[in-house]
Amino acid sequence: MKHAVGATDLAALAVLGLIWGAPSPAMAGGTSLDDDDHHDQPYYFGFVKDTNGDTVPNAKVTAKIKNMAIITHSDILGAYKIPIFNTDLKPDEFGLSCSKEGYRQAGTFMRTAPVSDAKVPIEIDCTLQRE
Amino acid sequence: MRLRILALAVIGGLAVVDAQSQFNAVGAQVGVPILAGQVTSVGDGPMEGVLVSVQKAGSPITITVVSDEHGRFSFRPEKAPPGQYSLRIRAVGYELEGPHDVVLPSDRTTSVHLKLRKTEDLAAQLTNTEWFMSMPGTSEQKRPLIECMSCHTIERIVRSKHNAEEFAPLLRRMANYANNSTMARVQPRVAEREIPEDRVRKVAAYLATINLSAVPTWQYPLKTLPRPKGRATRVVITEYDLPRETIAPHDVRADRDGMIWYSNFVEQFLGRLDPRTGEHLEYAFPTLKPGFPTGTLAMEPDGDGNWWLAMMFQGGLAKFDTRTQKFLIFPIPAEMNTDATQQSMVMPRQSHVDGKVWTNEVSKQSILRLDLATGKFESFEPFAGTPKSRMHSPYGLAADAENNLFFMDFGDENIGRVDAKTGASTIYPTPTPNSRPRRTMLDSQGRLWFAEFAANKVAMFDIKKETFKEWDVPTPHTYPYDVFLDKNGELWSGSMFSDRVLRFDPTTGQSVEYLLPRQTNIRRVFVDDSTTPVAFWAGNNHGAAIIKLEPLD
Repeated sequence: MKHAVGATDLAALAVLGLIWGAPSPAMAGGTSLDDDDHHDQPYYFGFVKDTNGDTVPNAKVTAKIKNMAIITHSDILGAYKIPIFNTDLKPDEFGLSCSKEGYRQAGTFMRTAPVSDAKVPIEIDCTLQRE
Repeated sequence: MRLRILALAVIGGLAVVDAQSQFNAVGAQVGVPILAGQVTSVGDGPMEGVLVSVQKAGSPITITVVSDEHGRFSFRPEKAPPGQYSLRIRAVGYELEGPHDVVLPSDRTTSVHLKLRKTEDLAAQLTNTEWFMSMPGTSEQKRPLIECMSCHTIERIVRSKHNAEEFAPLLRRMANYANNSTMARVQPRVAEREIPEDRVRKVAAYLATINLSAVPTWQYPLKTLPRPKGRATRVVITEYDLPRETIAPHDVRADRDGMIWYSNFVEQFLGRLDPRTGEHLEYAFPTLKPGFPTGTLAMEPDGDGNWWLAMMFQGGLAKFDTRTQKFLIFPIPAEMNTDATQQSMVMPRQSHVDGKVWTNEVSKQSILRLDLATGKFESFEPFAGTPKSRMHSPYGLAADAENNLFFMDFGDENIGRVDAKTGASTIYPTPTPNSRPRRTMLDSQGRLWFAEFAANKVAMFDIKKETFKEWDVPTPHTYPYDVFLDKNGELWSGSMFSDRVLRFDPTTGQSVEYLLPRQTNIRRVFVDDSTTPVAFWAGNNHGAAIIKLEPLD
């Protein structure tokens, strides 16, 4: 069986680094892909803040999609980035939450409306309240 | 499909190498060197950090020490028993003058004075790392070339005379070689891969600017790394040459009895070396898919100390029962088996918990799990629901006490977890983007230590805290392949590029880099904690040798 590569896949991959062919190939027992450039890829980002509007560093940020979770932490400025999401998810397929010891989550606020096919990152802030 | 379990008789003793049994048979006094000397050159006087290697006539074993700040070096008789030796050195920019042979009697110390002169062929001495440092070009231009070292050195590229037009078909051809190809054994893929033409042209155009297509010699200065200094000179390195140049040791580990086992990346053998005697054995197992590339990548022990091998393009897993010395083979069933099927990794460590062994399906970017009771494989798609355009590749594997899986996303920038009970996945992006985590180990405190191949970093992920720590490796263009945390909390790493072994203390941030005597393509690394100081082991994947590195502190 030949390894089939769709035209759409190739178009999407053309911006990446050295591509030896396919979205599912391998060199070195892993990947052939050398993609230095994810600028066209959709991602979620935002800030974790407290109820006073101050940023909260080192809070755990969890994005949930179906049977998968992506977990990261806010940085020293309270910012986080989740790099591998689709932007065309339906609202009920996606959830974002944050947590930190001594806090409980107060809410999330989506600053950018998700637009299908958009290259724009989606900004969601997450608010924590001191317990 | 009916489960096929193939029990195979052992093919043993294919090659027995020269025993090092003379170790204790010498009359030399303990503590007195058998060979001692000094390295000097006309311009520099005594030279620190020169690697001096001795190989006994007819022996596959080479011993290397490094000259100190006074240019002095010595060999102990327990490392180099009496006999006739050939002698060589490694010091970038220099070569050895005069005779290269020495006879060592047992009753006294032989003294030698090694005079070095400047080399006229510096290019022949550069590591891949030094070529990457020397070549002009942007990091974006150089980055695709980090894949080339899977099969050959960068020297092969820069010495070539192909222009861009001639390079294009060459690149297309090489893209269809299996990654388990070496210069000694090239293996074409069966499932062909298409290559976007613009990518080929771009890479070909760059290669033609760094090689000898238009000029008689390189127009850019050849940069070199400094020789070892201080602590990096206090080491003894033992290289065990394997009996065929086609043997490509990939993963190397010691068992409980101190025997060294390795996977062979291009041949259907499991290898075993007795480091005390030099005895070498190979155990053969069958080819499942004739006409497909042969050889195995990952080799991991299960809880009983049996060895598991990931069978790459042969499609499946092999278990070597160390008690019966027989193989059990678990082929990928027909309905899951394609021409692109590839198992590079296996994780049987916690299979006693639930009777399951983890592996990967590289061609589908997915995880597979073998049920030992039924021989069936189930598939997990840890990235289901994420953008298809984003390349992932579950690679280095580890399992926790409940046999939950942790994997390195070598295609991208994530650590992943697959829950053993629910199959749900959790993805943890590394702080550094495009890091391409490669191989990993899980320590007793629940910390994953791993190499960030493309980020030139080593890193730690704390499973409980779900947080990362990352450290730059000291030398640029090292591209670490793997790490191992020893009993002292020090991290060891190797590379396909730098011919150096990194020893790094994450608590103090201090590091030592030990230079190796030869061009050395290192994959999996292992540290034997049973001695003090510890001993580092790795294979030279392109050099048909096993390497033991013993620091003196």
